[in-house]
Amino acid sequence: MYLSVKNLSKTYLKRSGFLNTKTSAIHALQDVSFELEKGKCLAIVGESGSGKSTLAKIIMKLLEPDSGSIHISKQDVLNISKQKIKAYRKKIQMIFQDPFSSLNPKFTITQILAEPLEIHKTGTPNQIKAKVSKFIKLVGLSDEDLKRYPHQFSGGQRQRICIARALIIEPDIIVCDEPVSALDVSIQAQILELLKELQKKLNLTYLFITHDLRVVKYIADEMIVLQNGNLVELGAVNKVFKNPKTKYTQTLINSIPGSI
Amino acid sequence: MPTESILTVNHLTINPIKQVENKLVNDVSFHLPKAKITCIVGESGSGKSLTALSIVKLLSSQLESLGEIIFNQKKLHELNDKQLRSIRGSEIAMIFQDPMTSLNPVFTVGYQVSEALLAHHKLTKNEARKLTEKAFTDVGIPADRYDNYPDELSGGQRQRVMIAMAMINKPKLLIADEPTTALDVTVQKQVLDLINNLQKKHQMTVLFITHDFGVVEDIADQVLVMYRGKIVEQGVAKSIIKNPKHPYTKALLKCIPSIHSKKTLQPIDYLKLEREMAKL
Repeated sequence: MYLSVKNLSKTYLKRSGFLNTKTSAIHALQDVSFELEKGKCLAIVGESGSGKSTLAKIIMKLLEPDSGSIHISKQDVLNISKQKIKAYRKKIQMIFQDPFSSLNPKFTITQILAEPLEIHKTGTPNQIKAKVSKFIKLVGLSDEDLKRYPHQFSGGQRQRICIARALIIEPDIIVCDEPVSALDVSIQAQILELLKELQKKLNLTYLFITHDLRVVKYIADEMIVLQNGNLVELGAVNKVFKNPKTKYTQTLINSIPGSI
Repeated sequence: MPTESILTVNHLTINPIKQVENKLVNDVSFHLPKAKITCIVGESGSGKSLTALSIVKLLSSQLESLGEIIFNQKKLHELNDKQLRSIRGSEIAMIFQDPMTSLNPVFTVGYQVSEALLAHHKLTKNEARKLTEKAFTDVGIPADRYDNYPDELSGGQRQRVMIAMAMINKPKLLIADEPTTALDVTVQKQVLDLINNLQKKHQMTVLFITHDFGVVEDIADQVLVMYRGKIVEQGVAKSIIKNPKHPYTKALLKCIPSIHSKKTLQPIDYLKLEREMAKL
């Protein structure tokens, strides 16, 4: 198994009452385990508050879990030393929901795309320039776009830039946190097609966080369903849609509007 | 029109005051059949929300609108602010997308709903409270939630409060601008069912704005498809989804991932679309 998550738990403490003297525990994740093969796409499905973003943050090492373990190709992710954390981040990158707030407005597209390469010291300025030009074309934009600033692009184009930035240091795993939720359906279709094409071309592994089961059906091979921090469903997408194990998954499937 | 229409919009055009040429809504005409649900569907920037807002003249002061809006034989476009205020919230009610920003955080939800009632009726505080509590139970909120503040309710409950507020004066027309977009799918289904039930019970006309064809299929009798400020297709919702005629509607439906199969999505080729539209 390429990515394996075992018994992951995370509890937030919420303080309330007079002078914050009362504390109550919120179990954001409880004993979550799953595995994923290289080159596949796993959808993490859940409603707001289900813990799906907490899970993504822990895998990105932006948050420490209370217990459990994560291994990526046998490397113990949670016990990576401080010196090696930069190398880990080169392996795993993230695409966010809102392409408007995840690009620095004062940077040109060249600067945005070159920054990860400079941070990871991956070559001479000329090599970096060549790579930036290669990756902007990979996501369907052109060299002329490199001189422009984020505000000169539409939402779909900005999401393309975010994808290019995530891919440019050639990571193995991409965590996509609701990457198409903020987009119109016609733009959503473009981005989903692009993500699928890139996955084939570059043998990428996706962790795809979404609340939209149509998108899951379209892009994912496997899926897990989270409800209040508990993993209630795990399996191949087609099987889960046909034959959900829990009532909650059935409710989610029944709630998809329309029959298209 | 086979059924009687409650609202008629004729040649509605909206543009910024300083850019007369920039038509955000361009010569739009339609009828709303009485006691039916009509959906306006379109992508962002298509003019669907502006069309809805202009019915009750809630457009920004930077925009000007031209055209006729006739509601129950009344010419809304000729009314002054005072006359409009007596119609807004009583005969025509609105629900917006984000229930958190539409409620005032410093007043209880019960007070805010009863305010809508008192604006149009002379009642004592006690009578208003009773009617409000009844409105709450009608939309599935326990009456004892009256004294709660908006932040003490979940997103779905807040949207129910907004619906209670819209329904409390028994409007003839309800305009709902993407009321379920900010909600989780299971909650979305509950809210859609609620709007559907209330519509049937009160024989109310609903104008429902959405970008989601799935929602259209679930609730709409009639649908208007908007693209770049124009209505490009209109008719019975189920037959348009099954058998779209206009190239844009066809292209848009091909962008929606299916729940039944892993069909390849076909992003809209706008050049091709413009060429096909020019031929029409």
